Amino acid sequence: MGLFRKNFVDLCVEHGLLDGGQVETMLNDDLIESGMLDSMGIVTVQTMIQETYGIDIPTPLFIAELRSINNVIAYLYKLV
Amino acid sequence: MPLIELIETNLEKKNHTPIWRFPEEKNEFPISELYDRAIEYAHTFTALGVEAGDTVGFMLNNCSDFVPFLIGLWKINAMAVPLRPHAGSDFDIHAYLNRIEKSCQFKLIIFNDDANEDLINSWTGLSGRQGYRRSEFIGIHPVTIKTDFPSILPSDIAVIQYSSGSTGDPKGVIVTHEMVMNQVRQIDFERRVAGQDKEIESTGSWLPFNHDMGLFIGILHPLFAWSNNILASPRYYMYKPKRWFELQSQYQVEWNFTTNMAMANSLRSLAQLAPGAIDLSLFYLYLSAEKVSPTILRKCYEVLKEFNMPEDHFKVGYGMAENTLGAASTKQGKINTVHVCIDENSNTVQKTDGHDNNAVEVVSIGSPHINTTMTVRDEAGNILPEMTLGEICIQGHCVFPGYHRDEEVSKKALVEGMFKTRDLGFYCNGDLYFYSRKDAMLVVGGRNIAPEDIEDCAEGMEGFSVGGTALIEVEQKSVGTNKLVLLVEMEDKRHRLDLTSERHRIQSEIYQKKGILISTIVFCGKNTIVKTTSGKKRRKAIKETFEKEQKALCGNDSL
Repeated sequence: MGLFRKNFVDLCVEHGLLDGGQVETMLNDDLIESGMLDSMGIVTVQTMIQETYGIDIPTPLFIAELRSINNVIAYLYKLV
Repeated sequence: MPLIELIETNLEKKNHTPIWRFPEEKNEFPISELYDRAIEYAHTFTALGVEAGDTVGFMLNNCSDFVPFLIGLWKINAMAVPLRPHAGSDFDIHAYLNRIEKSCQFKLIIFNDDANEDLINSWTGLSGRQGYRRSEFIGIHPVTIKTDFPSILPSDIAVIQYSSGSTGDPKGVIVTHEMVMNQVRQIDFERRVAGQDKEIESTGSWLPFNHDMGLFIGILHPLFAWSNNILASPRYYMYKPKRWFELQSQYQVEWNFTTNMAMANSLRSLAQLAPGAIDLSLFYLYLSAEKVSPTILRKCYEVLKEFNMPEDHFKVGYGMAENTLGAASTKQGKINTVHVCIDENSNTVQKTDGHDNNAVEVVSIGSPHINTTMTVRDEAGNILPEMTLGEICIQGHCVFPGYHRDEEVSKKALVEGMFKTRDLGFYCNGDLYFYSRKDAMLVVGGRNIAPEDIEDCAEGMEGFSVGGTALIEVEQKSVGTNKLVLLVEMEDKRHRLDLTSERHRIQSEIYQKKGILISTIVFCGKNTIVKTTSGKKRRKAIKETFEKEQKALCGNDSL
């Protein structure tokens, strides 16, 4: 899990979704409420996950449950 | 001379053929090849019965075929209607198409290859008109080759530019071939005035072609300027903004247009590049299509100076489809900003030092383009002096003749050839400043959002009452962007967990139906959404209440 988490966080930093210097403090932030993800940002994250892990995350699931980086990591970890 | 004739003259007389690159497709083509394909497609359009004056819809992502489709269509003097290719999964794209069809009466529509089968079938079935996927259309090879093409008059319609249609009724702005040429000449002139006083050799754009800025900056101006060009899609750009800027550096691109929101979302990605990793010393960046935040502007200066981009290479543009595209822009030197206090009762604007709590910092949109007059007027149409807030009005040779087959709306927008923008602004020391919209329309990321459409969507959900929601836009000064906040009245006190799930349910519903993510949903008590006696929502008062009592409202304490 540790390595998987690190790789996913690095991927988010690479795509400019997270600030490399403040990663640890942002992992539990609500991506939508905090404004880190807008309409376009959701598509970017879905594309990034699809291209990297081959997993399609339905938008309703993303908005309802996977609202933080840690939630996304936990969800993906179960599937890969 | 229409643009298509200029392309043909350039192909004949210029001693170089620009290269257009499509990094997403890993393709590049000389313009001569794109033109040859355009002529093939002109024959295909003709074989499919498209004639001069017919309308053809392009429901396409940005792709290399878009360029020859457009030129080919103009070759037979038909009208192009760029349509929104994406929508939320529940967005009623059939209704959107049918609304536009009423005024356009499409001869045919070209769809993306991965367009929904039901969409194409319902389109061709219901309307009895033609619809082809991109590769299907390209695969048609007509037997009869027509060699004579119709001539094009300056007043012939080149494009009907529709608003996105996710919110509000889409309105079709008429753009004639003369307006196209006037606008591209104007863009080129203003570029020179702003400091790029030489032939532009390399351009780039990722903006969607169905948006006026994407069409003109991505395709039409580069054809006019005969420049090399890099074209990608918004998705390619947003996926890795730094990759896009690396390409601009690699091919020594001299200008891009972007939006405040796109830059806000790109700076973190760009900041990962080592100082000097890319060279943007030749690069100019225009921020347009929405209000520019002084915070974002300063962040842009800070991040992009690491790549040798001078501060005076940033420009701000202002315009809209009704003026073909651009109406004003900042010229030489740094962009001005001003701290002002605005009394919205008397409409007077007073300069302050910025320490006043009521002061706002506004970014200049520069001065009107050549052959364009911009005035600030009161309700009666009188021209207002400097430092007075009023409606920005535009006159000039890029102003549209009206909305396509919509005389009533056209009459309201155009008064003796003058376009009333419904934008509020003021002049200060010769510079024009855009302050806010006159109506309730919100502009986020270059996209117009009609609040009532989002509210209708939420109010149509089970458990919410009609008239019980209000969408407002709240400035986040420290971040430099605006966020959308939906206030939702609730009668009963629900458990906090229920509120969280309700909040997510509303966000999901609106995103799927309208393609817009509302970052903040605030539940509030009855009568927070105040209304006039006629039942109209008093948006200004609602927003003021929210800003004053934000903490209480966001904490759900008002329930």
